[in-house]
Amino acid sequence: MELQINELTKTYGSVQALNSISYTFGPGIYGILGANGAGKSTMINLITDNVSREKGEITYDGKEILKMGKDFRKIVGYMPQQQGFYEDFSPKAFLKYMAEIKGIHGKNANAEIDKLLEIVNLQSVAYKKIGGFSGGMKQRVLLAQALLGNPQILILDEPTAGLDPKERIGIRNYIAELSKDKIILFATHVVSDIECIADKVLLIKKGEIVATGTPGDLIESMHDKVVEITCTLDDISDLQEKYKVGNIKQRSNGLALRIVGDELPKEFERVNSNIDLEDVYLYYFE
Amino acid sequence: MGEWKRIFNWKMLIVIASIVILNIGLFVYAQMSGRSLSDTIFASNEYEHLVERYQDMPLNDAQDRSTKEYSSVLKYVNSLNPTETQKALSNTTSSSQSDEGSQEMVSYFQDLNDSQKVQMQLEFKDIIAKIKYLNGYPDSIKQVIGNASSLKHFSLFSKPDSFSYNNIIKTGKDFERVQNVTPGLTNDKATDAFVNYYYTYYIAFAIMILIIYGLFAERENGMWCMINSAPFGRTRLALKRLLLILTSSFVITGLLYVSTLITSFLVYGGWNDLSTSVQTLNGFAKFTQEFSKLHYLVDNFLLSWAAIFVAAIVLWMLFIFFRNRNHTLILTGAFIGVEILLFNKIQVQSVYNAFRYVNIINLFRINETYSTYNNWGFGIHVYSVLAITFAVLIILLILSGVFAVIKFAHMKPQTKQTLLGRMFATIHQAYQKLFTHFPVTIKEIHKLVITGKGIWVVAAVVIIAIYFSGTGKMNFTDGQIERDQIYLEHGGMDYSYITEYVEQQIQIYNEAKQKLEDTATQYQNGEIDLKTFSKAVSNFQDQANSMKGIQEYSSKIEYLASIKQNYEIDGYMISDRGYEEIFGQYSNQREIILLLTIVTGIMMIISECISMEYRTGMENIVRSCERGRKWIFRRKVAACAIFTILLFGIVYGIDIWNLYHIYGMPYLKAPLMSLTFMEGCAFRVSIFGWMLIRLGARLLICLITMALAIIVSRMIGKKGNRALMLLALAGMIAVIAILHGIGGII
Repeated sequence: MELQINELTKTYGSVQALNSISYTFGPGIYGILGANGAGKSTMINLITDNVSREKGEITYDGKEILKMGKDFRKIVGYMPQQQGFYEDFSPKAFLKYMAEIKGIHGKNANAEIDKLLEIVNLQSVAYKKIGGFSGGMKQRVLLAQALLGNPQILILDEPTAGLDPKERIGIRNYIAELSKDKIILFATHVVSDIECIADKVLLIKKGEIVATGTPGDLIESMHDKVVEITCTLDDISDLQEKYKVGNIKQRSNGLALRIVGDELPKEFERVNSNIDLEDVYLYYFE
Repeated sequence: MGEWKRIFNWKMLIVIASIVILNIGLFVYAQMSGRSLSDTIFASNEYEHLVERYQDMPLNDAQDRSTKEYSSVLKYVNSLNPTETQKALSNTTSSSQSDEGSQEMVSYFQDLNDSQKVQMQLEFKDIIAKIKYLNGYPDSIKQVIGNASSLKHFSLFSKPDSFSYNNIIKTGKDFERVQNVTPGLTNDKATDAFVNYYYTYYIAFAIMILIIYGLFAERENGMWCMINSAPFGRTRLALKRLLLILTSSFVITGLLYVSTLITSFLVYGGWNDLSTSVQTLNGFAKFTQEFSKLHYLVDNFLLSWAAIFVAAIVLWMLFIFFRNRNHTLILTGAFIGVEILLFNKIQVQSVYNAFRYVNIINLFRINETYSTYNNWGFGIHVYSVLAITFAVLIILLILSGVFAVIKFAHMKPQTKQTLLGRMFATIHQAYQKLFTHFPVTIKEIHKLVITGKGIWVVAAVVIIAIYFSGTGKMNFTDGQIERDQIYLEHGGMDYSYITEYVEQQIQIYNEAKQKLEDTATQYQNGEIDLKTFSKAVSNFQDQANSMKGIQEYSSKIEYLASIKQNYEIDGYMISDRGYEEIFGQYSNQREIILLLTIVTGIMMIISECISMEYRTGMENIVRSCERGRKWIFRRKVAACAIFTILLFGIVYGIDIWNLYHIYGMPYLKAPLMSLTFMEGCAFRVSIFGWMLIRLGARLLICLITMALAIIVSRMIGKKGNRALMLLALAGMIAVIAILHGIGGII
């Protein structure tokens, strides 16, 4: 099972959304990190064939997905970032509708829908109007429809947005269980989600992959690039002008500032044992 | 000011302006009564001329003269050979003014075309009825006063502390106010038409519903909490909104009122009639104030505005109480529907007539309440219905206004679900249990109607269909109605009865004509006296009177013979009149309006539903699925087609139902060319077949519109270029207009 993108390019007017990116996805969870407008959604839309590409190819097990057509779409589950619904549908009606479009019929569909509603914890509101749901509940409905049909390729765009910590952990764990025999693309801003479950991470910036690797590799690459200094409030603005500043924490002896960069003053204390993906994000995207 | 700007944005102003124009159009359409606009204007001009002709005479003389002149016109109309009639009339030695007047009128009449002749006859009937009413008015008032005076001496009514006695006293006193009113003949059609047109107020209230609905947007867009927690977001905001409702109801009612009134005067003329007594209007025979029409119109406006304002405040109160504005809107719509049903179905004399009087439809027909003399009693006390209505309005206003402001100020955005909310939720859940198992095509129809809120467009289309197919009924003359009855009873495939009757009448007429000629010669030779000659003339006129009827029949017989010869068609003897309204020359406005309405409705509903798919992002989700391309597209198209056919069925079902009840549809099996206006038609079908063809053509146009809407909407997608959709709609309208000029199918 292999999804490959080769020299994928997409331009919107004068904006280069994707600039000839290439990558191979195998089974596992791929965290896709990038700022707004980096090209994450464009890449996802190209894989789901919701936008036309200018150049490049996308193949699944060696076959071009455009030629595969509905055979490819049969194995894709897509959860978009936008929370758009038919507001007057209930989750059950919505999932039944999506099941039909995914070619899942009758009793199989009903059984699968009931199971998914239980997984996303919406079985008690199965017949209530989606329009009256909170953001988190709507997110769970979207996730459930993406999981319909047990797709081999799962594309999740901000799947944990709007969920409380407990729900987020639950969804993450469930996705982690699924990843053994699926290709899961997990686009998000919540770095901690990727840190916990991603097998590999792609960092996309201005339409290009700027870094890729396991979370451990990426964190390792930040060796000697992260420092923490203690300062006062007055020093912060100066430091922000000179360096990429991350978290600011209140300590008993003042403010602790976390800075990332390539050439940092030697006098600053390195924190090599305490680096996380957020530092990696800051390094590449600030 | 902020609330004003929020509610009365450009979109709302355009909607209001469009509705004002629509109301003017509806008013003009109602005045046309199945006629063309030129006939309507002609008729109103003729009425004005007739008023000028008779208004300077004493009413008794006007009544005599108008009756004589109308009789002369009728004699002319009924004679086969008008010249003979004129000659016979001119040979009499009578030289009375009325005869000269009759001559003049007949001369004028004979220069009119057929359609104008019909209009003229109808206006004559109107003015004769008017003069008769005006002539009898002073006596009718005296009679009421006299009755009141004598009744109070009857033991049954003479008990001073009884309702009956007090009612008699009040009636006498009220009518004494107008005992010196002597209304004269004026051109009061403009005021008459205006005060009897009530759609202005229904439409004003509908706009108020829109405005009030807009006031509660914060309950759905998440701003309620923010507004409620702001320093001026409670009582002060409630009072601001109360003021907004007060001023906007005044402005909107005034706008609609004045625009319709001006339109009425433009149609009917008689601008200087406003200073004359309101009792010139037939409906004001029992109006007990000595008012000019202007005074009455101002009062009528203020009362109507008050009714609309109070109804709007009550509605505002309901919206506040029920939290969910959509639920309140649905309930309001259901309530109004029930009220309309009760108003139309319950008769005035029914034991349930309270439901007719205490009715929101009646509330907006203030003119009916104001102009009619009607007292109700509470114990021994007597009050006019208007006074009671006014008192009820004041009480409702105070109660509703106070409750609304207090509730608004104290209502918390976050609370447990209300009873109404729970009720709707329960209904929704029950429906969803069924809906879940519907096939995808049915779900797509649901999306068109419910999810995309197409139901409101459907409701508007249906209301327009009901209005335009139910109003504007053509008025036929008595003679026409009589002849249509003959066609029904003795026409059809075997019309030998009519043929024999025509031959018989022609024979009698010829004999009378020969006798007249012989008698004229004898009179000229002095062989007979004037009395004998006049008798012969009178006999000839009697025979001539019945000739118009057979003139139409004999023309028809000739026509049927010609289509037999030219086209080998065995036509039926049937009346053209009803079918001219259904699909002939008088059907144009109705048919174009219905078709344009349904075409616009289809475009709006389908385009909105498809753009919703893009706006919500559902299009991307669906497209990424196995059957998310051609499979789902076929089902969407099928859903749109089913919806289009259903909407078409509803609209044209209403149209056919109304036409059937107004005009009947006799002899549907008759060959189409039995109708004289269909001579030479390329389709050799029955009338029923022709109606089916026309319906089929309209359905085809609707389906083409549907396809165009799908194509254009998918092109627009989420880009929201509404201009493209408007262009497509304009294109369809242009095509319909062009097709309308060709072939008569559309």
